[in-house]
Amino acid sequence: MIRDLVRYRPLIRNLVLKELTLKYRGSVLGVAWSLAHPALLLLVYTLAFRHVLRVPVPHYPFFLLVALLPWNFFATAASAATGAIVLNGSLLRKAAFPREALPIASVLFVFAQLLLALAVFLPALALARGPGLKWTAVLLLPLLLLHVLFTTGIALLLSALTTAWRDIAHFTEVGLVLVFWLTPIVYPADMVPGSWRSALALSPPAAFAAAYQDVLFWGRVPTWTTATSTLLSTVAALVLGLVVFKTMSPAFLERV
Amino acid sequence: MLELAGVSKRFVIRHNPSLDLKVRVLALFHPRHRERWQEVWALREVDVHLERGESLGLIGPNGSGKSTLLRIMAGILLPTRGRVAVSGTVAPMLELGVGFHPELTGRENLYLSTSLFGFGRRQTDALYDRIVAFAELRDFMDAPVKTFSSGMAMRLGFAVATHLEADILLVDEVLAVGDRAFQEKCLARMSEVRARGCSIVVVTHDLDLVRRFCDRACLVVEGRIVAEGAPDEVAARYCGGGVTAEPVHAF
Repeated sequence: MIRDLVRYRPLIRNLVLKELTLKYRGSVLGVAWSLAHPALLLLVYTLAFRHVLRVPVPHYPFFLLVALLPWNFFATAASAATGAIVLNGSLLRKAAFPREALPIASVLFVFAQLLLALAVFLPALALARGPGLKWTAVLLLPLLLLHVLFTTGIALLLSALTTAWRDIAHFTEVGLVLVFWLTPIVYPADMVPGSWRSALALSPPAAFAAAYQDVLFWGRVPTWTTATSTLLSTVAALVLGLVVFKTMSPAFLERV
Repeated sequence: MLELAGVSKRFVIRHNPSLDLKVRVLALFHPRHRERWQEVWALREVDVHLERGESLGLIGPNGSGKSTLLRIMAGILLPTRGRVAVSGTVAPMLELGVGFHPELTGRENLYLSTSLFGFGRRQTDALYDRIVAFAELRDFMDAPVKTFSSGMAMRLGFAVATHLEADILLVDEVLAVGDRAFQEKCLARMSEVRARGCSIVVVTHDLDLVRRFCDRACLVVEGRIVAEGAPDEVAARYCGGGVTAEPVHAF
């Protein structure tokens, strides 16, 4: 399978370019939307959580930013993945390319927007009067790699399951909102009551959020618990996603 | 070379438009809501053998399984039973132009189409001029495909598929569109790739095309190959009846 995907790298690239072209063609602000969207979210969450609810974190907008951007990547990619197979029937009917290319391309398309946002916001984080960036920021690279692999695993899983149960798309939409508010992104993990905190340790999104906050905001190396949790959930998501996808893909064309 | 041995394909057709929770609960009380489905064997024990440089015509009434057979040859559908052996690369031409994205330009669609078959950018660059020249679309490649006529989109699809230099070309009822001149050009192009050793399978209702172009023909009825041999004889068998068929030509 890996060899197939390497051979079909141009397909994945063209699918990503296609989505990027379609997203920005014809809009006046174009690429700027990919920056305006997180910037506006940042503004409104800061109003709500620093000025109204008074979350006690110094430099709150920066704290929010470092976990919100990666979450938006994950959430957008997961919800796009539910349509990656069922909305591409016409491509499936055209050729016998490896079907994995579709969900992978949909993840990479969203990932490209995360990289763009990071390219603008990280220098701002380093230069602005705030927590600044410590050397731990270099750990962002392995962290992004794990996160994109984790998200790919989830995307493979969701794109395959949606072909059999269209409810998965609705379930994902609702589920992502629930998980967002249960994950320490807009509030710090130490505000969570002690008895719930052990449950958080089992949540992959919470582990990823904590890791981003550690390396970009607190300037410290993530704890062993956080590191193993991100690593194990990545492996688990990839294995589960690939197995389910492989099992279900022969029947895709009969279900889309 | 292409070899199908004992290939059968089963489809499950569901007759309930919806199987949501409401319907499932109702089904507990009333049989009218029970799940109704039906097995359809679109292909039964089909054997096909295709040599290098040979062209095979598949004819038969609508719904007889010709297109399913072509999709199985293309590797897009898997057979329920039986074995498919393909040596070499396959270029399917099914629903020409359907996979094109209307908002993307002709050029972008061309590169996307070839990459569906694993072609990289440089490989496509090398073919680009020949494909565009064949499709006679040189002045339109930077326009979005939504501005193309259906004939233009079809020409681009045909040009892409026949320039992939595949070992097997699968053609599903595509020459029906397009004007007479372009049809002749397509036939000439297909003869050209065949002469270079490409095997071709054509699904069509145009018996004249089968007589003129194919080395051999198969008559497919209700998922079985009921006649195989020289195009003239098989076409005559099809016209001669014994086959419950819809009219061959709609007009």
